[in-house]
Amino acid sequence: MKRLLLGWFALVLAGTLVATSSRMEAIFSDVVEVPENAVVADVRSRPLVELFSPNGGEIIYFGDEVVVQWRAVDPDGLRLRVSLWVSQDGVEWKRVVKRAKNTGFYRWRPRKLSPGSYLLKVVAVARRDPWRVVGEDVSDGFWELREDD
Amino acid sequence: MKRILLLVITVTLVVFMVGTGFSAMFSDIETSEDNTVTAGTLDLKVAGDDDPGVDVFVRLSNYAPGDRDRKCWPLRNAGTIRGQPWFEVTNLVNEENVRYEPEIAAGDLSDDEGELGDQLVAQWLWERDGNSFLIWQAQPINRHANSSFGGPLTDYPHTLLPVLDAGEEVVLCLDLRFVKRSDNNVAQSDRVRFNIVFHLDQAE
Repeated sequence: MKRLLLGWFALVLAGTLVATSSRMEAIFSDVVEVPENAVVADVRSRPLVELFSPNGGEIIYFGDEVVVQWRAVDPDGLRLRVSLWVSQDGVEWKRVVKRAKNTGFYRWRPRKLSPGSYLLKVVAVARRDPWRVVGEDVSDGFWELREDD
Repeated sequence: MKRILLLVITVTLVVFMVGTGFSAMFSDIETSEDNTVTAGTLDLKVAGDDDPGVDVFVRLSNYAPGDRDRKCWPLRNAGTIRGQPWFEVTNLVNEENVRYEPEIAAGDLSDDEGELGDQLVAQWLWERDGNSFLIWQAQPINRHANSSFGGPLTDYPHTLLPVLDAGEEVVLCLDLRFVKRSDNNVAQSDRVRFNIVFHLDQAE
């Protein structure tokens, strides 16, 4: 009799659980899927820059005017700005001109530099380029800055 | 035998009397006819459409650092019973596409996976009556992958989407922002693809 009663309780409990779980899963629902949402990043090309002078081997005297000449073109057609940098070792660079117009030349009197050998670097970047992709060119060889003989 | 016969007659008499007595009481009967139970409906419309007719929501190209967009879609309960909306971001894929020279120069060494998903920040919010409610804060969209939002049992249940009565709607918005970073160039030409799955479950 006791065993029969136990069996009855187990049956009722199982039935309740099944009923509860099936009720949980059986609620009304609707699903809408929107696939293939996409964000694609832009592509920016590097500005093409070529430094013509000073490109190595030049001797420049204090007080003389150096005409820096370059060509810088942006493949995407954006307007470029140019900065000029000098270095004695090609590692540490000091800026001499900031955000100059891309005219292809710049007249420069290197008064604040000490005598020695230098490299010059032209860096071009489009002001409206959110990627800030730069193009640059460095003198092929050292040029010399001398005091007057 | 005589006693049995007497018993049968008595019982018959009692039954007859009782029956006659009941049927003789005042009484009235009313009938309620055509009682029915009809199931309600729960029908989610996203931007007015059903699956699979919903247009792709996010299709942004030529995205560059600093760009930002907000995309919004109305979710409407077109059924007849109350429903709790929630949604999930699934199948998020970062595609490298071509590795251009600026990407390589910036340190993108792998063709396997794009980097845009790390630099594209997303946040979800819902709007009603000119007010905005943040569902989940701005995070790189990569961290939204395979996560569910806005429902009581979702991964991010901090702010629930409102329960929608029959015919009611709420506007869900996704804010996207391409953050400016020093390593933006590694993400050039990359693409992030993802699905958005909207749910409407029967509410208590």
